[in-house]
Amino acid sequence: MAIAPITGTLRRKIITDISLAFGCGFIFAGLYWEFEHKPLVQKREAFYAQLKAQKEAEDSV
Amino acid sequence: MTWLDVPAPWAMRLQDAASPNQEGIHELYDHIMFYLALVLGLVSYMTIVIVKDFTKNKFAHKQLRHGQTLEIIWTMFPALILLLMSFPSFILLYLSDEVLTPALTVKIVGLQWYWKYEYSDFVNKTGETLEYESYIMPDDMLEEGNTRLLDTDTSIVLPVDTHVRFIVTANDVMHSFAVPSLGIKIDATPGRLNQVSTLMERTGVFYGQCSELCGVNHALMPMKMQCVTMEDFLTYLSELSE
Repeated sequence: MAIAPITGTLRRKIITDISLAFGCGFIFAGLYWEFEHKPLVQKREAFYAQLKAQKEAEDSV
Repeated sequence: MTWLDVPAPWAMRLQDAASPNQEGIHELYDHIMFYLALVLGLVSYMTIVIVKDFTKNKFAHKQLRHGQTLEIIWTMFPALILLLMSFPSFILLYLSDEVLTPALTVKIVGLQWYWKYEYSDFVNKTGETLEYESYIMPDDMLEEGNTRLLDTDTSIVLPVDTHVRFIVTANDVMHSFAVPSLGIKIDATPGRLNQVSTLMERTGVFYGQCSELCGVNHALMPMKMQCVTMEDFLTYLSELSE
């Protein structure tokens, strides 16, 4: 008996697969943003804020 | 707080920024890393699913000759990602190219195998432009705290929080003036003047290396830049002009 054409596999799972794949991607990307990018920017901003305050204090003397 | 202003062993990221240009490069780097992580997650998941679903299914692709939907998806998605990466990149590129009202101009000449710096806005007591050469510090003259292959006998001294313009050229072959902490890399070409500007936001010592293969001692012509307060800069200039 001939095997029936196997069709529709893409259609059947595509929504689930793409959603889960994007989910995985966004989790990775979000982790990078939260734990790598944000702390570095925060550190840099804090340094320049402190430098600015220090300069203002020196200028006011 | 310690800044990473020199290359360090096993360092993973770019050197710390000392100018708005380099901060922009850091932002762009992180944006691109965001998309990279997204693609990594997406592709890894898809690979696992494909391996899992099709390893034991010999007939799954038997009737598959083309899949238009699939092709549209895998063309549009990378195109979209490339667009998302290219727009911030172009914005930064054109912003970096702007040279806005510089307060100070320094002329930099690349030679085989050293650099010559010229403070074109100032003259000494005899009316000559302030200029000097800068050679690499030989290994046997290095002192504690010096960086091998990066330290030089003289350095460019520049004031903090001041718009500085570099006019870069070469005298023999092509060189390239590059300081990673400032986000600068510009070709030094004989017979041509290239310009780039910077604004150093903090004091410190920044290093760079010639970035265009210029001959046998290409690796031995680093550049060292000292960013100091305006008072220290004026003192330095007056000492230099004597």
